[in-house]
Amino acid sequence: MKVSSLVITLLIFVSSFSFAQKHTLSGYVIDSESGESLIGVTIYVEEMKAGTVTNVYGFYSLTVPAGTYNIKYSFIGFQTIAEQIELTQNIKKDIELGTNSEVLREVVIEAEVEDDNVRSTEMSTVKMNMAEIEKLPVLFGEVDVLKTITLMPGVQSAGEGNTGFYVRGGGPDQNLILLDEAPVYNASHLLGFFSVFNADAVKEMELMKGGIPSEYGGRLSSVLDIKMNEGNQRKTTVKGGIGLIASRLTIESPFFGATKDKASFIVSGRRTYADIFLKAAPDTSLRDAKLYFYDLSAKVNYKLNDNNRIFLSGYFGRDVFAFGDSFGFNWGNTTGTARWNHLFNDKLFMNMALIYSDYDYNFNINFSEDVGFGLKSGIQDINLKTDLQYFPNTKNNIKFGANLIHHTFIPGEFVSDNIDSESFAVVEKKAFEYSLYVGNDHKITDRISSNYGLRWNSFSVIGPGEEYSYEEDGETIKDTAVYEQFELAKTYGGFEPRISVNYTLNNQSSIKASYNRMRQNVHLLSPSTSGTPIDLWLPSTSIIAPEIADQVALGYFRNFSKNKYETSVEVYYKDMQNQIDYKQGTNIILNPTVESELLFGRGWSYGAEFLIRKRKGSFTGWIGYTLARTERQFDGVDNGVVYPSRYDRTHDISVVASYTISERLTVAATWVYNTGNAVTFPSGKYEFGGETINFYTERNGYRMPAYHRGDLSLTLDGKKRDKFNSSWNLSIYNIYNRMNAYSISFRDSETAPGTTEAVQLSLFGIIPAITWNFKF
Amino acid sequence: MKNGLKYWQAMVLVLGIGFSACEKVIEIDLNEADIKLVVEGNVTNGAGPYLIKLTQSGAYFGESTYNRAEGASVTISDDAGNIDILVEQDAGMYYTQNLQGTPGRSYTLDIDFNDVSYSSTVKMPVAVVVDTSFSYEDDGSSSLFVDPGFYVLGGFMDTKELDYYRIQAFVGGDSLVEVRTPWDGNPVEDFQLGAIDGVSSQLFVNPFIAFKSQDTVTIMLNSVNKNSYDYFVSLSESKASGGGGFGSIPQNPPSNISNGALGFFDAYTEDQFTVVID
Repeated sequence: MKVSSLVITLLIFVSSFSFAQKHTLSGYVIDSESGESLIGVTIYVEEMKAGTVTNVYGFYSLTVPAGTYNIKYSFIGFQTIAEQIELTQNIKKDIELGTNSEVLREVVIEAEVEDDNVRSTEMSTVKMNMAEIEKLPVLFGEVDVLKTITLMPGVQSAGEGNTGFYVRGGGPDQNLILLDEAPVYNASHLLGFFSVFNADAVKEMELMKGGIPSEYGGRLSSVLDIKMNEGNQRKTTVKGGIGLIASRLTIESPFFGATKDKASFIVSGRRTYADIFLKAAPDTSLRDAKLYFYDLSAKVNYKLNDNNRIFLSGYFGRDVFAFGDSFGFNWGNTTGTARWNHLFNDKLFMNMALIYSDYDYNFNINFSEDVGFGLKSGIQDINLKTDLQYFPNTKNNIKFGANLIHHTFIPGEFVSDNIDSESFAVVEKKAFEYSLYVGNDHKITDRISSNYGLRWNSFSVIGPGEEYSYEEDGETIKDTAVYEQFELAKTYGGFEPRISVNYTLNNQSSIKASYNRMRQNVHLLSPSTSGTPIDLWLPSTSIIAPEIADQVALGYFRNFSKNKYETSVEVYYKDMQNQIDYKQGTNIILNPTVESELLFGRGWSYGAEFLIRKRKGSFTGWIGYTLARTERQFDGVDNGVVYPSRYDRTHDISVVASYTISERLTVAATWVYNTGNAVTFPSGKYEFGGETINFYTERNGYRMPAYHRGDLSLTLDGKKRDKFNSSWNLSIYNIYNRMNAYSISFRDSETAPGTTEAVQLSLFGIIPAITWNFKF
Repeated sequence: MKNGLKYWQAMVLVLGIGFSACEKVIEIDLNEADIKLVVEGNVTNGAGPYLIKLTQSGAYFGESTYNRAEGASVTISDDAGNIDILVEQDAGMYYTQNLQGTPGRSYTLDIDFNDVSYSSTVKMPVAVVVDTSFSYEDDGSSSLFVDPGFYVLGGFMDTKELDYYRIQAFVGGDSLVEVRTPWDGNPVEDFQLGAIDGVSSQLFVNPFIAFKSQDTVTIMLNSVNKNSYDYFVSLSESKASGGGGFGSIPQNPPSNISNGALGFFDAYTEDQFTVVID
């Protein structure tokens, strides 16, 4: 009796749904040539005037009422495919998009659906896929991911001789750099000349400067998410280049004997030999110097069945600087990721990942064969994260998940081969961080769409370890609290709301606005005037509070001439709390109480970014201009006045142009200009102890001279052949040989005793490079 | 281990030189800061007179002539009721007349120059007295930090509190080394001042450089206070970096004189001993 009433209730329930019977069309979109999954492919349903995009694994899911629909699959650089699909049940449809004119499907339509910069809720974002990356100007024979993003408005390179980049006035540690989801702590080789990412293996890169969705967190200013290729599923390809300064090689292939699209791998490596030139240096002491970097990445993917796929990837890279046997300095990242994609059903997609990431530097000095010492410092993360995506209908794309990270910070370890000095280590710091998030990409009406979400972040310092508390003078240790393993020392937690809204004015233009709050619990201490690889990573502690940023941005996006030209203007304001500065004489090396030498204060930055971009045709490129200001205020600096941050650059201009002269010849050029960094110069001098002493009045009250530089690159493709293709590339860095200032120092004059002078050091003049690239 | 930064500098230069770096003197516009009074002087527990030198700062470019501050009124008083009015015997050089520095006393310097008053107060730390001294030979084989030669040690009783010392070694009037160091009386942690086995309550001054046979070595040991230590460490860093791409963020060393005067007024104890190496 109870059962039958239950059944009746159930039947009524079910029948009420049948009026709006919905079915799901889902599947993967891949590159027809390589089988590589494509990220961000637009799938548009004409009749619904709505659609979706493929996720980072190439998966899409559309739930619509039963019926017949015209569906368009389109992606920049690929031929659009249109299909008519009758949806009377759930359909699994995998699509292959091709770049060349081979007809793969019944109907191919050339209609342009490339206005997603206008229609998506994304703002403050720079996205590039492989096809676009390959067209960019080349430096030293290679396309460089980091160099490219610094050419976008709002992003500034830290400058020659410096690693890192600044986004909207934030420091270099405020950018979360992810390589296949693993955090990379130092993304540059060789003083910022090369990034650690080999463009041959990169599938897509996305830089979010603002309006960051809730699935990302951990740093204040930006997220640079780089996805590697999975590896050609269809045929073995080898590509690479041999150049004057660096060489690289990438091999990708399906596993031999595997069925189609089942399993493949990609291995990619690179090395420079810049130090070869030092052998011919005029200064003989330099001839023994070694200066090079190498990196290696490998990835394997295996499709268990239609609903399960596994990926294993790893990266290993190192910069090495050595003087014969007596002195060596090396640093680098190691990452490893194991991921599992699982489809619960056609609407629920999950990615689960286990990630290991390590950054460290090593310093070795050897006095003789068995006498020497070493200094080491670093950071290690083990990360378990799960990300789920639920596609209930065409109007909503819900994401939720969790991220658990165990951090180990090694602030400094001194190891001695010598019996006299003992090995000494600053106590390791361990921390446990977890985040939970939920978010939705919601198409609210025809004109209004929004991405909103909430993230919760919690960070705890855990044992084994020690936490110090200090006396009133801020420097003497009052108390040392010792923690056992897994014991919680200090916990910080907070919400991070995120929202961005797009109001589409018409097909050509839209207005977007966003707000996000970000929290950051890893801090890079960099007390020198410019960054170095020996800068120290520290967690939040009972003394160092988490950094928090709130950013609002507003933008107007307009396309012209049928999406041939994209333009945008965006203004932003970012408020940063708990920023870090340094007391005089801060020592970050082997210093257990370094946190007592820090000062804490506020920062804020604001600016306007302008961009005009042409993405199609034989002439492509963009012009970006940023007008911005970023300031800091610390009670302990300059008596608490507001002063410009060292990252403050008033004007930043980038011009990038690429022109296909003929089928085989492409020329590309860049020109960059930026106001110099804010620096502290003396405003007077005096005598003390018989010597001249510089007198400083305001922090960062001066500017370095403006920086500008032009680069040119010429690529000549070899004749197009079936099996083997090659090209020659000539690139010239700093084509008009402007000696830009790296540093300016003040000292007693060597030529005119009794006076003082300013001396400017420039690092790089004109540097040509020739590379031969090949692919087969 | 600040060497870390130096090696990084070397690497940047190597890369730069390999690729055509260049250095050149440039013209640059600098603001002219207000002229400040610069105070340099100290009170010790040795015999007076003590000297306070007053000069003025100047614009950065141009001749490095530093005007002496003449005609100022300078007094030093202590917390035992003594007041000494200093007499300007040379331009900008003011000497005490009868003050005798005593450890443990606080000294206040008052300056009136160009209608502006400046003041500074320091406390002289407790005195250290070196009561034993000797030299020994080391052939340098035991440790990588030790060159072969003769080493000099002087023993003294430490207060067991956190103290700061300055050690200078002279051979025939030339200062060979100057070291400033904190010392909290715990022999395990500090590796500048060493402790000798079997003698637990005494600490030894060790300038850590090797001397030659027949050298007449004079070691001077000063007990200074923390502000003095901070000032001089900051000063040496500021001299080393000179601004520019390397080195710490340029800042003025923390002066202990009011009203924006530069320099430092110090009070420290001194003791010295001489050893002739045979």
